[in-house]
Amino acid sequence: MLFHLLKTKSIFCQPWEDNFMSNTQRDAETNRRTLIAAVAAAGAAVPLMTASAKAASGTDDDQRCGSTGLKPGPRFVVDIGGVDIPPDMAEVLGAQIRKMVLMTLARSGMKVPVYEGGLPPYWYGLVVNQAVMLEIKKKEMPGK
Amino acid sequence: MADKASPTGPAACPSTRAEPGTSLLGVVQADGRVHYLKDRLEIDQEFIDVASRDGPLEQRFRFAGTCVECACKQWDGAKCRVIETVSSFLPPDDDGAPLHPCSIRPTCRWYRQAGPSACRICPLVRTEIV
Repeated sequence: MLFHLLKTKSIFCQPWEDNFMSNTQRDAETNRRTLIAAVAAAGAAVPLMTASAKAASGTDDDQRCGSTGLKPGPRFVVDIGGVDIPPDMAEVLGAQIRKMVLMTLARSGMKVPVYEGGLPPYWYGLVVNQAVMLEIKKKEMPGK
Repeated sequence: MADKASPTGPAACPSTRAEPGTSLLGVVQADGRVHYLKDRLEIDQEFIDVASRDGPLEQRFRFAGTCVECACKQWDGAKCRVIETVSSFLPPDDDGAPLHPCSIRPTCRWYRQAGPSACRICPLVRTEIV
């Protein structure tokens, strides 16, 4: 798992990745595998899945990913400490956690009316949420 | 605006269609804004099946995938027209506030084209089918 995760950098929050890399040497020396699967949220329900040789330190989201000005959402940490588990089992565990997060998010989305048809082929249409945009403009340009 | 990041490799589209293999970029929340995942989370067919039950995916989530450039109607031959269009709705100057976490910023097509101002309007963008 440790080595697998090193290859899949995309699941890491960048500052944690630095910590992770700096701890690789120590981890090898102690011959310990520590898996921390963390699910974090910033803003509302935003997951973070990460693994590190470093024990959970309780570092908050602001320190890891910069202040967002948003209320942090729930954070779930699974820490198996210094327990040594086979890499293939750790990989399966990581995949299961990732899957659970994904399916929870799938069910958590807002309900909106269903339109028939969907997007036409090759069309990647986008709109700006005008209601929110107008709120921002009012705040930023109160005189206008 | 000139590219803000040196393009290395293919750019990521921050609002692509929901297809297996694309990443879940964010979720539209009750405040009407997109709230972002900090890390890439690749979706599969099961996610699409489950999430589709409550409405069109692209209106409730944002997905990221490889920018297909000329295969997309928003591509003008050299850049994506979407971020240029939506950026015109907001004041061009940045307020200096930290940018929200984002799993694709280093390769994001919009960020490459418009820099941090793209990130400030990105949470307001979602796909609408009318």
